[in-house]
Parts: sequence; structure tokens; C-alpha cells
Amino acid sequence: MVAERHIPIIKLYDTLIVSIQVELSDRVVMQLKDDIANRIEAVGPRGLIIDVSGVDIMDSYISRTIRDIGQISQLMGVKTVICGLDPNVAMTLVEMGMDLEGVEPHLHMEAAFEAIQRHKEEELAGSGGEPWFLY
Amino acid sequence: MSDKNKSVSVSRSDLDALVASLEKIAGGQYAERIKTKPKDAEVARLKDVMNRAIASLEEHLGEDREATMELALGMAESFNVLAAVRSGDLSSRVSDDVLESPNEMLGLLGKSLNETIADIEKQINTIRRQQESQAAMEHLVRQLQTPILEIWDDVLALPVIGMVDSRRSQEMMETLLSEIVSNRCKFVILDITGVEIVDTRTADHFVKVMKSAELLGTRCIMTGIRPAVAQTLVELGVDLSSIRTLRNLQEGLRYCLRESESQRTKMRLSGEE
Amino acid sequence: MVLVLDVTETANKTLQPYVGAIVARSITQVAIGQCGITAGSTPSPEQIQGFINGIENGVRAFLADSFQADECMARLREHLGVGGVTPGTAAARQLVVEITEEYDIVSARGKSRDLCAELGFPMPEQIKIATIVSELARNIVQYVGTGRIELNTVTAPRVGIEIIATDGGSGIPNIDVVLSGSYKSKTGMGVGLLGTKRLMDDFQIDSGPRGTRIVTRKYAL
Repeated sequence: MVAERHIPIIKLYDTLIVSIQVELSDRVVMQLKDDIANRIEAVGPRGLIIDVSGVDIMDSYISRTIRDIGQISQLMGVKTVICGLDPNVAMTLVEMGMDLEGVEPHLHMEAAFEAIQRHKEEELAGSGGEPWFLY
Repeated sequence: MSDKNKSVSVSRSDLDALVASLEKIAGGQYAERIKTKPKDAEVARLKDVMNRAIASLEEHLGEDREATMELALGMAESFNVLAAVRSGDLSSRVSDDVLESPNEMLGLLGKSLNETIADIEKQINTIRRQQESQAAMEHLVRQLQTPILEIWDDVLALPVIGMVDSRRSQEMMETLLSEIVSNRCKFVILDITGVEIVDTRTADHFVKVMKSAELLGTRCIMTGIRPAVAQTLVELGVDLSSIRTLRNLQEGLRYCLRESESQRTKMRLSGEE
Repeated sequence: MVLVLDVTETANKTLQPYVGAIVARSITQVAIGQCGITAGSTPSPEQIQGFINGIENGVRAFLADSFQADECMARLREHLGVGGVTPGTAAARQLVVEITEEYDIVSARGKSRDLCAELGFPMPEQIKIATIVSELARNIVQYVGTGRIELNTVTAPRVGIEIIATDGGSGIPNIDVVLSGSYKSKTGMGVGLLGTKRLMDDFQIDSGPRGTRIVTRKYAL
């Protein structure tokens, strides 16, 4: 019985970063959601970045997992964004009629980080920011 | 009394043997020979002559059969060659065996077949070459039809002209996404000024192109919707409510620049925190 | 070890009851000539395959009844000790993955992607097919436990790839509602199935108390 690997959650200033590099099985997913919730509580970040540059195939289960994580963070007051989606995966998702279910996408890690910084500013300024993506 | 009228005695057993053998031959067994050894010289002579007649019959029949066989084989081979050609193997030819057959007609048929197939092969090769250069030209035209222009820092413009089918839309998506990734673009303007006719599928293609770019984190804007196109889209009930649309490329660019500036401002402010 | 004589004799004997001795001999002769098998040599597997293809052309030309032709070819393949391969412009490759646990999803995905790459599919198509395989395999693991995924190439009506997912479960409830897209829930197997139907060109599903069978195809553009 192999102990489930924990997917590392990295803190970078006021942001948490989760990079998905391994197969998402049921147990790994449960562990990840747990870890994220606990870490958010411990750290109190502004935002969470899910990096999927290591994901070459995204089926509905994985996209559901991302949605769930987004919802968990949102409930705990954290903005969640995703970055590094592969173009082929993007095309497949669109052909299947699936989307990222509320998690804001960005091209790369820097853009994701900037988005979270902007969000901070928007929050402070009181404006919700203009929602620009289709979901 | 001449010898010719002398009567000959044939024993019953000889006669039976004769009849039995002849029956067999009548039934097709041409290898059969009369085997009795008649005592009477005349009967023996009869037997020899009969055997020789049968041998001659067998030989001729054999020749005929062989000739028929050969003809049949040659015909069958010709059909086979035709079948091979039909299934795409244009290198198929009738063999020399058939061409050199003693049966002249068969030889002629074979020769004619080979020549015809060689002709067809040549024509097909010519057509294939033409198709290849045509395909290359089409590819070039497609590339020219959908240029992707970086009109400003971080802003890509995709002017669409003419009809958009599945293939073109697929190519557009692939090229656009790879450009977005390599140029790290933040905005994409899909300009459809050059699109006069739109149906459900075309609208669907456009939506897909934009959605896939958005999944990568790019903000997408559609510009240049002609009056007729706008009406059609509404009539078709296409849901473009979630897509930002502007009048033309200029306004699209202006919008992108404003947004870009606003983002930078927010970044600066949050940095000063 | 299969020698030329054996191959010729075998073919003649197999074909004879279907097309007669003369035609059988002729077909065989032409096929030998076409595939390059030389007397006294041991034919390579490629040559044998070429031989079989040559024979098949002749058999189908002379036998109007295609069931008879199929039977004859099947017999020939059996006698020559060759596996079943469907002829055509693209060889029908088969990939079968038994699905019993989560790891098999990964395995099925990887194998189907490799197969598509081998077949020369462009990258976006490889990813699409692998994603569908992942969806179908995951449904099997999550809702039934065991099943199987099969991948075949097809040539008619066009060149493409076919995925067949089967399981012995108790069937999918409310299939029509799920597939109509009107079922708004974003959870459950419906999403993946609907997504599959949207992405693929052909989609057939048979589901009942004795199990489910999904046959779906995507053709080249």
C-alpha cells in the first residue's frame, strides 16, 4: 500500500501555487483538496494559482477537480486562477463543450501572478473589476 | 474362297473384355487400354488397332484439354490483372507466358491489356502531380486567407475573409493558439469585416476559436460584424451575449490598449502598497 | 517455416472449393508474382501479407458473394497462420486495454495516444482521442469497475479512428436526457459522455441492465 504523494503547495509572497505534475486519482484529489483548504487557513493568501502546464490530457474529471478547488478557495475568500493550459487541451475542451467552470485562465505564471496582484488592488479600490472572460 | 471372307472366332471372354474396356473409354477414361491376349491373330490385330485408336484419341483430347486449360488460365490471369488494377495496383501486367501463348487471340488480348494499363498509369501520374501542386497552392491560399497579425504589443488581430469551414476553423484555432503562446499575447481581435455570409456552423466555429483562445488566458474581441451578418446571427439565435463586440479593428485596438493600461496601473498601485 | 511451395499449394487448396481449380491456380500465380516471393526462399511476413492481399483482390473479383469471399479469406489466413487484418488503404490496427483499476485509465490513454501518433494523426487529434479514451475508461472505473476499451482504425466511409468501450454494468439511467444536453448538472458521467458525443463524428450507445457498449468514431478532416 503506497502512501499517497502530497502535491506540493508553494507559497510565493501572498500567493499559493499548486503545480499538477502527477496523475490525479481519487485519493490524490481528496488529499489535495484537504491540503489546499488547510494551507489557505494557515497562510491566508490573496490568491491561489493552479499550474497545469504539466497536464497533457484534461478530461471532465480533472476539470471538475479544478472547479471544486476554485469553489473551495472562493468560499475561503481566495481568488483562484489557472495557468499553463496546453493549446491542444484547450481545443479539446472547447470541442467537448467543457470549460474551466469559474476559474480564471492565464497564459503563464507571471500573468497569473499579476492577475492576483491586480485583484488585490481591485478589492482595495472597491471595484469588482470588469469580468472579461466568458465563464 | 478368299481370305477376306474367312470367319474369325472370338472367344466370349475376349469379347467381354473388349466391351468392358470400350465401356470405360466411352465413360471418359481415355487412359484405358484393351488388355486381353486373343488367340486369334485377327482379333489380336483388331485389339492393337483399337488400342492405337484410343491412344491417338487420348493424345488429341489431351492436347485439346491442354489448349483449353491454357486459354482458361490465360483468361483468368487477365481478369486477375484487371482486378488488381481496379483495386489500385497500376503496376499490374499480364505475364509473358500469356503474351507468348500459342493462342494468338490470347496473346493479343494480353498485349492490349498491358498497353491500356500503361496508358492509364501515365495519365493517373499526371493527374496526381497536378493534384499535388493544386494542394500546395490551396495550402498557400489558406495561409494567406487567415493571416495573424501582431498589431500592437500583446495584441493579435485575426482578419477573417470569406467562408469558414471545419478545416479552416481548425487551422485557425491551431495557428492562433500557437501564436498566442509564442508571442505571449493578452488580446485577440477577431475581425469578421470580410465575412458576408454566416450560418450556424460558421458562427459556431467563431465561438470555438474565441473560447479556445480565452481558455489560454487571452481576452477576445470580435469586430466588424456586418449588418446582414448581425441580423442572421440574431435570427439563428446564436448566443453571443458573452462575447465582447466592437465596431471595427480600430475600436478594438483602442479597447485593448485601454485595458492594458488599466491593468498596468493596477499593478503599479498594488506594488506601491 | 513457410516455403513458397507451401504457400502456393495452401492457397490453391483453400481457394479451389470457392472458385474452381483453374481460377484458383491463376489467382495464386498472379499473387506470387506480385508479392515478390521467390522459389526456394522463405517468405517474409511482409511478403506473406502482400501475397494475401493479392489473393484477396482475385478472390473478390471472382466471387460475387462477399460472405463467401470473407469465408475463403478467413480460411486462407488460418491456413497460413496469419492473424485477422482487415484490408483497405489503412490497416485496421487493434488496441485492446482491459480496464480494472484507476491505473488502466492512464495506460489506455498513453497507448491510444501512441497508436494515433504511429498512425500519423496530427497532435491535436492525438490529444482529442486520448481525452475521449480517458473519459470512457474513467466512467468504466468509476461506475462499473471492469470493462474494456478497444481502438480500431476505419477506412469507410472515410479514414478515421474508432473507440469501443464496453462494460458489464447495469446500464446508464436516463441516457436520452443525459445526451440531449438539457441535463444541466455539471457532475457525473453525463458531462464526459456528452462531451464525447460533441467531439466525435459518430456516437452510438447501447446501454441496458446487462451492460453498456459505446462505439464512437472520429474521421480525418
